[in-house]
Amino acid sequence: MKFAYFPGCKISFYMQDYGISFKALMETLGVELIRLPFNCCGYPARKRSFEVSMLSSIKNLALAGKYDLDIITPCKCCFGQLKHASYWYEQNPALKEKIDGFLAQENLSWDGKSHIKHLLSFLHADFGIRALEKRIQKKLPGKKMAVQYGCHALRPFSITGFDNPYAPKIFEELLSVTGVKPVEWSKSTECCGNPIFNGNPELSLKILQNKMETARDAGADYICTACTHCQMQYEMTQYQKQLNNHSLPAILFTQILGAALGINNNLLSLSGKLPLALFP
Amino acid sequence: MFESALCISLIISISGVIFQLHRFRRNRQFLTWGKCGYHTNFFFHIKGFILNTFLQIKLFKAGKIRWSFHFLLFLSFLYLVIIHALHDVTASVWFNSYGPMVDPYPFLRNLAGLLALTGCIGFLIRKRFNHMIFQDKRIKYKGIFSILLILMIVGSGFLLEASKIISEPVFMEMVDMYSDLNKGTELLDLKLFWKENFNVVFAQTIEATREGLEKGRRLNENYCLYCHSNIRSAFLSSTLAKIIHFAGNRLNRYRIDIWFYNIHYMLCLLLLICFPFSRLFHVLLIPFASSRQNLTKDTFRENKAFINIAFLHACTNCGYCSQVCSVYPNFQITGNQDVLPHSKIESVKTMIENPGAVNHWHLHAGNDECTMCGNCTEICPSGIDLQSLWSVLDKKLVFMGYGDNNRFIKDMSLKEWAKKEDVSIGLSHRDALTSNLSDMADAFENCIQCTICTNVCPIVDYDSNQNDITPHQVMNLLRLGKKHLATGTRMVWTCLTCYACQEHCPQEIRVTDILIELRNTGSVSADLIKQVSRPIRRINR
Amino acid sequence: MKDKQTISCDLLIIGAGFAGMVAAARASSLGLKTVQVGNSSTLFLVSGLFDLLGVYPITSGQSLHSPATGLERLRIDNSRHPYSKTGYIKILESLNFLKFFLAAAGLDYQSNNNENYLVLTAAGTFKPSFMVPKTFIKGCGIKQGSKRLLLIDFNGLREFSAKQIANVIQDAGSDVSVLTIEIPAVSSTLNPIQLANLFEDIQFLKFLSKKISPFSKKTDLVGFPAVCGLNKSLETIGKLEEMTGLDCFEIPGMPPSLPGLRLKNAFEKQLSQNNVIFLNNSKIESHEFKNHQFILNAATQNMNTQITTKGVILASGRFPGCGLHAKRELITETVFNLPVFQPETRNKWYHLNFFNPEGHAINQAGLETDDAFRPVAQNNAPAFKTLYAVGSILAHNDWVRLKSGSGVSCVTAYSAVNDFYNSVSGRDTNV
Repeated sequence: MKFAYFPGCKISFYMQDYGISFKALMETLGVELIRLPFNCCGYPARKRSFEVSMLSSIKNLALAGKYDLDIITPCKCCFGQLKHASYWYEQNPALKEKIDGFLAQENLSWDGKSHIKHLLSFLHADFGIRALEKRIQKKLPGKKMAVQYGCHALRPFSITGFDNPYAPKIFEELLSVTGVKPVEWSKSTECCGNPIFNGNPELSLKILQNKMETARDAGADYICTACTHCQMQYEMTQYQKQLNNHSLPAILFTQILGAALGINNNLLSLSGKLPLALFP
Repeated sequence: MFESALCISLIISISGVIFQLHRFRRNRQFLTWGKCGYHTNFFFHIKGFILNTFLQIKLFKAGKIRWSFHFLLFLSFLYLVIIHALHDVTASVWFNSYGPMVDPYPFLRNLAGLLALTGCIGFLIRKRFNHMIFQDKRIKYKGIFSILLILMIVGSGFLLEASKIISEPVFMEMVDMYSDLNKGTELLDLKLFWKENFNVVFAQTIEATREGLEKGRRLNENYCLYCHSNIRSAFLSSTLAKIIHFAGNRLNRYRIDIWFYNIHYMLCLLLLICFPFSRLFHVLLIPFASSRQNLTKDTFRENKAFINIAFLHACTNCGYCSQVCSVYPNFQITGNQDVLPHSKIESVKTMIENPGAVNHWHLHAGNDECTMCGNCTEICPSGIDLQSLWSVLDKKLVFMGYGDNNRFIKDMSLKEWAKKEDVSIGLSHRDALTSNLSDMADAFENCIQCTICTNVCPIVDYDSNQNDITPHQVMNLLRLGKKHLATGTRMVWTCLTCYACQEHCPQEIRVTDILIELRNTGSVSADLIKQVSRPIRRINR
Repeated sequence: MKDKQTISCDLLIIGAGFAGMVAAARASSLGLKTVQVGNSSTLFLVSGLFDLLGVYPITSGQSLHSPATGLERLRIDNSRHPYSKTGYIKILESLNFLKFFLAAAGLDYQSNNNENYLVLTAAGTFKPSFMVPKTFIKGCGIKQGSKRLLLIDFNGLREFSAKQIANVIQDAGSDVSVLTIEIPAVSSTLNPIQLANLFEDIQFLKFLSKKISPFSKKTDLVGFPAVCGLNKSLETIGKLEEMTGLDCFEIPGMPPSLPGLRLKNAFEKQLSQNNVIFLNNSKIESHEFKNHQFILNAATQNMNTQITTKGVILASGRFPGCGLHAKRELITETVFNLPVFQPETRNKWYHLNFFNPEGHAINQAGLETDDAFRPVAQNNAPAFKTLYAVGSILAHNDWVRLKSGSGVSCVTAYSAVNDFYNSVSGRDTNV
């Protein structure tokens, strides 16, 4: 299998662990990742300008289309944004015309053929959960984990087609494969608060705090994420003293699955360290 | 006289460097907010010096062709400066056999000159045909002065050498200095030999005889060959000499070689004087700029990013940062040059030196698009910590009162915002495209005000004290035709875009998409309102 | 270009209202591979009470004590009513199935020995209902009792006024006191979910019991609006009872209702666990039937799903759910364009008197079916062998007036799925 790898802007700087563990994971699973000179997915610009975000997204899609590749991304915001763009591009003829003009300047065009996949939907639907089970080298200790679904992949279903938006389960199913025990957490589909961290940090952290508390009440020892922005948000807790009493450590799904697939720690984390209790 | 000119130039140059460093220090506060934002420590970074200044590794990674041109120019010019210009204290001391006209030095000098010329011309061509650089008026001509100076120095050097080759007076001076020949037939034979082989132009006509030539060759071996190789190894100058050969007599009469010497020398002094004030200064700053990549995700979160203003001047306007910029499409649509790093850094420099010449709102709007992906920092051939700069700039602009639109609208009461409706009326005529929901009755008229959206909204739940109206009320405002009012509400601006409302709506109204669209529209209105208003706080110097 | 995917399944359920959910529940319990399309949010608007038959005959104007007696008369009066096609036993069986299905998702419902409860509502009235959430039970039948009642409401929670309820039931001679609770640090309005989230916090419960404690001597029973927690309502009520030492119950109110949301969440959780594929907000855009199979195209904004299925349950509802569409002169069925039983002309849709006890003719409109709930074509034979219609889309079923919505939906969905299962597998669910 071959994909155009769309890391998203934040991975290269804020979430390098996610990037390297994702790459290690894909290599182990025999997926070839092609790096293309992608630009921003357009999600950050969406709150300012519809046009800008659409051009950003479609340019990426066109670039992948040029090489006849599907896009895979570990970030749920990138995933959702690219999906949105592929919808709106078809809806608005004036927009389409304008974007096509810009694409033509760079000898690009988009025929809508390249598909967008998120890490989780790829593993669940394309790679297959049975195939994944066979690759597991060692079952991890049955720690209790709450999963953070990530809004922009999950909703709106009619755009993203990710999973049942009200009672999703692909994340839990994938996590169970590794031996980890997902807990039932009523807030697993609720927003982590990251989108407003810059505009309204107090509120953003209030949401985060509530999520941490309810996850702990649900019996979780860890929170598992599969989105760059969610993980960034959960890592904020380390810098907020008032949250220290409530905070749960957040772990990237790629690291958990990677460890279960027997990938060396050094390939999963820059520091070579993963939480000890989880990976003895 | 030359020595005293050199001394004066050196003094000017050194005091220029000191002046510049002082200026950076004095201006440091322009990039600070509160107690954070700058550091004035200079660390000379050996690694940065070797890798970035000398080998230009980062430039090599960024662009191979440009690196080859740049590296050749750099290396050859360095050679010319050290071995040619300073040969009294360098080459003559280091190498016993050194002589300006002893092989292989004329050849090497010519080669270096040629490479330097090629480098300069390559630079000019890139400058003209790189549309990104050419578009920006402020940097269109940056660095041209330095390049032209180098071009002129090298060019005058070649002309000087060529004019010396054909010069009879120079020949006579040398004969006087290094031989005991005078006015005899021997001198004539030597002249003949030099005329035939070395292109010297003599006023008198000398008849060529095979015998005379043979004698001249022997004389040449006796007197000249020791420190004067065949002129052909100075391949470019000798070619040039052949070209100007026809006018040789006249040129010799006016002692054109002395003119060229003076020009060449003066140009070199000019370069020395201009060094701290021109693009050339980057050579000195890069090892410092490369010393610090201080921004980590932790420092950013703790607001501890800082940048030394001096490092901005290590920028060579090469434009690579903008070629890899993640938000280049934002520039394509908005046309705001301050989106692009190579342009933004110029604005920052201007903002520091002459705040009045910069549109701060524009600068903030451009900087706000930055996603902090780090591509520009990664590629910057000068090793400037651009990411820290953007982070610091953002904080500084907010500190100065040029906040983002969210803050701008938050600081304004809803009542005040509603009064600015006339601004937004013009919006319906602007050509920006939207998702076309909030103006289309189809998109929201089916709302039955069941309040499910409000019930599932995390903002309504967590922020009940700050939030003003709720999603279903926004839909109602649209139905009442109060779109502009809706664009100023807290609900629209704190929306998490989590799509819970849209997913749950039993009437399948695209609630979140509408909220996002309203925010876009509000943002445009805010931009228009800002154009006629002052910053919230005065600039703090 | 839209993404494309194909799914093949045993049974497709069109609609995610109450009937659709029951059908999906039954189908997945029988082990059928099930796909469901629709929009489940309308469940947020239901009361959460399961009515079987609250009033019969309509003209009696009285709540029905025992639905069994009403059903007998209904069968005689209206042989085309969906209830007339199933037995009383079947109805009880279906509701019982539902009770166990929801219990597995942690939602407890209770029935009253086959008789109707009289549930105290936010309007102060008593509504007859067959099966109710356990958290409501203690409020049922207080009309007869002589219990002293404390009603709680919250400042900022609109559409629920303890005073209003008290005024209505005090007339009936009950001893009622009222307590309005002001929640600190909460702005003027509160929505039900916000309150429900507060109820999940133990500190808030402590705060509440402190407010209630002055009344503990002069009251036996405390009534709350139905906002006592979203996920663990029964547990929350239990904690409150423990803290206050009083019996507590919930009073169903106006939509959006928490009991409806609990119901929605329970269904979704359980169906997801039973591997029902749910395509939210999908529309069936085309259909064809060949080789004993339906091939349908379900479209979302960004994806076309081709569904190949052996059977289809049409639970698309009436006008709000878009199962039926009213044109100027004609009512049509939106997915398969089936013939719709309806008044001949538009002027016969409504009575002049809106409150006419017999109801309006348009309320009897809908799909006519055979005894297995397969909609019939013009020739009175089933349109497709494995197409069933269930829930409110069925004709001769004025569920609003008979207070029989949940019952009709439940039993028709249950029976239709059973019939489909029997015909496909050759086995009999009754055995």
